[in-house]
Amino acid sequence: MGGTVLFILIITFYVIIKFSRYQKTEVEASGFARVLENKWWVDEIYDAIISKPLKGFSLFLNNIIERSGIDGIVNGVGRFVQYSGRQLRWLQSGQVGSYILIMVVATVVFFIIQLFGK
Amino acid sequence: MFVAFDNFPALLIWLPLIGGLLCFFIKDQRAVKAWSLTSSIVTMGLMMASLFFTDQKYYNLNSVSYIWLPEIGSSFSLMLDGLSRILCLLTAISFPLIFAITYQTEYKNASSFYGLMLLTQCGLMGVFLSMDALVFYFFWELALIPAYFLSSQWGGEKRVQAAFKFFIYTFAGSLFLLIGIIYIYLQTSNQSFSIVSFYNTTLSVKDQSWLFWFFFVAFAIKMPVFPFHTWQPDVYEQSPTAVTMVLSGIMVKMGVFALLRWLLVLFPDAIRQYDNILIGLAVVGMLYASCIAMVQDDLKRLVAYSSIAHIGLMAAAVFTMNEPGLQGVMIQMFSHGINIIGMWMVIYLIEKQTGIRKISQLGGLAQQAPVLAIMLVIIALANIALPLTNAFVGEFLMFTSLFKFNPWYAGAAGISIILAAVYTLNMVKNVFYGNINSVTSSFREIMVHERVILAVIVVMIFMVGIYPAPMFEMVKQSTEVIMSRITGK
Repeated sequence: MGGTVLFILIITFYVIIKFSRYQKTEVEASGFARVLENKWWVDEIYDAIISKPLKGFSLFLNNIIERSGIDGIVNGVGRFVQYSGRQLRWLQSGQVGSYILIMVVATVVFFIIQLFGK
Repeated sequence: MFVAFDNFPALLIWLPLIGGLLCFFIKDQRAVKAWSLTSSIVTMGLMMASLFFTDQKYYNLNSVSYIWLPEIGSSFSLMLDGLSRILCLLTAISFPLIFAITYQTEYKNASSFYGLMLLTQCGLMGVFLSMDALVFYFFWELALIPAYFLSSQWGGEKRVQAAFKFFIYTFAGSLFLLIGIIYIYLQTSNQSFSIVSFYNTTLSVKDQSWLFWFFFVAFAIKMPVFPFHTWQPDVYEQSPTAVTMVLSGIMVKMGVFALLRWLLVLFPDAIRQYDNILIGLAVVGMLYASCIAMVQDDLKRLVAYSSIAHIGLMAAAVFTMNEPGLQGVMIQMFSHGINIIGMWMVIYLIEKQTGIRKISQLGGLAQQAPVLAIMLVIIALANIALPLTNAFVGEFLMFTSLFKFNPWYAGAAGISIILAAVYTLNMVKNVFYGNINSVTSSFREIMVHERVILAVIVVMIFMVGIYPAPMFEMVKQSTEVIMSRITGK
């Protein structure tokens, strides 16, 4: 009985000591232990060299090349057609005088091309 | 004249056409759904039956030619050969699955919706079956028109804009194709649009080199390959998911199919001349699309860009012009169709319950719906071509062909596999794992019929992945025909 109590006391004492020391060593590793603790910083290196630049590059492709570049050109063609349509519309003013003027100017231009163009 | 029901190709066109036209007259929503599902199941049954009659002795069951426009040398010629069989099979299987998974979705003016869907199926079948350049062009446009209305009438907020862009883009490409077809027609010895006359017409290298681009632009827009792709993410995002499934699962295959059926055989010299540019473009497109997929927050746009990357690999393999490449592309067209439709189904099921497609707003779905999570993980792994899944077979062959052509291209294209794993697994992690949030807390497990449909997809993934021999058998003859034409042996 006495032996058991003594044994439990020793074990309890041992646990308390170990636990308090464990708490202390937890704080900071130094030297090579620190390198090991951070797994040689492989994750961080990988993140800095591959992950982040790749994500940045992908964002650049998505926002600049895709949206403003390729899609911009495609939509730009559509916008240009609409814009030119709107501008050319003004030629159809409904005034007969302006139509005759355009016709005469065009005839003169064709005449000049025919006469001097060859 | 055309209404003959004694052969498979004609029936595969007539069934969806008649089924689709009848839909417009059925006003009850439930009835039209049931009718369109039944119609598509009958088409699938017919297609399945045709697989038992592939032997040469059943030639008359698989080939037909009706008098159409004899004055200009065009006949309504259809044929079910290896290449068309694999794509008709994909079309026939996909439609019932699409109709079944979206069965509970209520569409305004449902009769028109289902009618147009079946007309699209008719157009797609026609493209794959046609053996006459004019008939091919006819169906090529016929498939586009209902797809345009489906996207513009039933889609999201910016649907009209997106569908208009899609229409103009593809229609502009098609006009180049038409010019090219007419030019070759004028060069044929017997003034005919038939595929045999086209194949037998000898075009000078100079002619080939400009005609090639006229055909290529039309097909490249349809597939789409970089940099002709910008219509695709917008349309996929804005269209109703059922339409997106048809567009991405089947319609984009029209472009790849056309490369194999027409471009390779008609312009082999031009392809040899431009092969480095074409494969380079395809590989750059793969990497480009994969990078963009990595930064997408919308599930639909992510899958759209992933599709561009996968199609890029198919385009690259086609232009290597070697046997494993062609076999790989044919098998991959089927596998990719099944996988991407599976991906859309999962997205549809998530959106149906949450109303959300943003990856950043989802999370923890695996805890709420473990069956859906398992299904998605399998489909996602098939999407990144893991061994034992269907996509592995095709991708392995395509990479072999690229490696044979130039190891550097294969290496660069290989990076896209890593990127595919990055964006796919990231999506799985962010949507299905992590913490449950207010949006996903009420998410329920998928229903029995949804499980069954996804299970069909998963079974097909493993079937082709574990035992691809029937697929090889199906495409063998078509590959040999194309190879003999392009090598001149």
